[in-house]
Amino acid sequence: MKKFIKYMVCLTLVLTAGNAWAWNKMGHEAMAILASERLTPQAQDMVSKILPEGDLHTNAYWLNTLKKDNKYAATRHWHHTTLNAQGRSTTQNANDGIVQLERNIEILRNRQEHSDSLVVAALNTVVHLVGDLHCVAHIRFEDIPHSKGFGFYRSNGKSMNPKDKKSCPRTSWYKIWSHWYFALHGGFSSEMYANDIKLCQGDKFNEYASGTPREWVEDMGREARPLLARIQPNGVLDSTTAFNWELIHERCVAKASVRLAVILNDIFK
Amino acid sequence: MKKNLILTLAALIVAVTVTSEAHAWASVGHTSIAYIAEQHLTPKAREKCHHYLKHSLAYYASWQDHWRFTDPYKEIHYWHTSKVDADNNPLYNEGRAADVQIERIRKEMKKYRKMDDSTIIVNLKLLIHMIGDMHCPSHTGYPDQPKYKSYKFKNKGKSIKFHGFWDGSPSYFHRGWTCEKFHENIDKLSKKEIAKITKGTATDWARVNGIEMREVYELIPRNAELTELPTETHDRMREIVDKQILRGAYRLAHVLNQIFKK
Repeated sequence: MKKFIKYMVCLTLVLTAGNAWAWNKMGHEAMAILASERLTPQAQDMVSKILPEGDLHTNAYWLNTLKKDNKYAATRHWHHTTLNAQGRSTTQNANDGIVQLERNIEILRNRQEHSDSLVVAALNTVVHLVGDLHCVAHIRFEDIPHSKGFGFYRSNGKSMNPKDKKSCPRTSWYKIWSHWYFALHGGFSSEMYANDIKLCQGDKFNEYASGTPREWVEDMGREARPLLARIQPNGVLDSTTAFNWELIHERCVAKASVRLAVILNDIFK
Repeated sequence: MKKNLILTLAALIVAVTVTSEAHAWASVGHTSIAYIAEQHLTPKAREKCHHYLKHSLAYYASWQDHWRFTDPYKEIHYWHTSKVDADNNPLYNEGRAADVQIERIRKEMKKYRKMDDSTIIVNLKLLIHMIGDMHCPSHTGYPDQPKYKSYKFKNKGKSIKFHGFWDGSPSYFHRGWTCEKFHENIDKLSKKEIAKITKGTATDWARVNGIEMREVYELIPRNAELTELPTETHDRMREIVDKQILRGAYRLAHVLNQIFKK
């Protein structure tokens, strides 16, 4: 009986977790699908040997599920990175996403020295963190306290009055970048979303490939800073701006996919 | 005590799954129509649509809903439905009708080569949405016919509105389906059947919708509990939803194929 109750509790948690983050999942998977298409044959071969599922996208969301487990509570801090006031990535904080990304890349480079399970975890972590570090809401700034997260109102165009709840629903910096832009496309599979990113980005993918992970998060800082300047906590974001930002969102998904492929192609060459 | 705990946990699990699945996007219907339509585009039409939109048809399937209150697009707020009179004749409604705007754009797009790209892009986004919208069971209006006004009923004890239910009906009847699933499971008509469906103008289609969508007002009585309706009624509603999705999809493909045929 106790076992049954424990099972029911776990099942509830799993269902709740999966459903609460449902759209975020599509973004991670779509990014991983695009990255897979850019892997060299050697990298593709290593991915299929290391990961039980044989592909990058099936577990692209893994770290978000893991963080719900109290045993892995420390990983909850890994999903973000903080840039200094000059927009530079200088942190050595073990709880920062870029530090963890670099550590897990090193595990993969020296995979012969580590257990199979650690190598699997490292690869899934790299896949997930590259995605997270290309989400505008996951970029924080030392000189912008509210970059850690804030609430505001998003107008649907009818009104800019935050008291008009129907026209100006309450949202948050995290929700709009992690969920809302994906949620605009109900019924989409991850494959469909990946296909649309390919269509809209076209040849631009190659422009995103150069640099190092630190330079890439600094690049994300240049994406995120002007957006944070545009809306303040409890402010109202007009609908034109909100929808036009989707272009930035698409570009960031494309950047993440290219850069993940660059990392893995380099590790597994 | 244990029994109560188990029942509570079971109810919580059910509530979580039902609630999450009940976050059905009206956009699912639109994206599915657009996705199925794209599968029926000629290579030329597909190439042209991708060239202008830089996305799939499905990506912009809900564009008109997103921009309907925003300058300079506020007028499009009135283009989501078609209306018919008591004899099922489509009403012009001062141009504020989906079928009227669809035919206007069809005519305009005959000369798309002479148009600027931004106009073509907006026209495509409007066609994708409006051809979908006019086939939603709750998007045929019957002004001055009280029998066919929106009303409320219940779903699991919770009050819901006629319009909102039918907007979200693709997800209600096909929980968790992606666009690809809709295509895989219901896009099965023959070329002959499709050709029959795509005949005529948007105004002709509005007329047929006017006749046929009266039925949806009969299927669910006012204040009824949805879950207590007979299985046959649910089956019939699902049949109507699937039929309207396919009509919207095939007609959208047909219109785009016609525009980009040369």
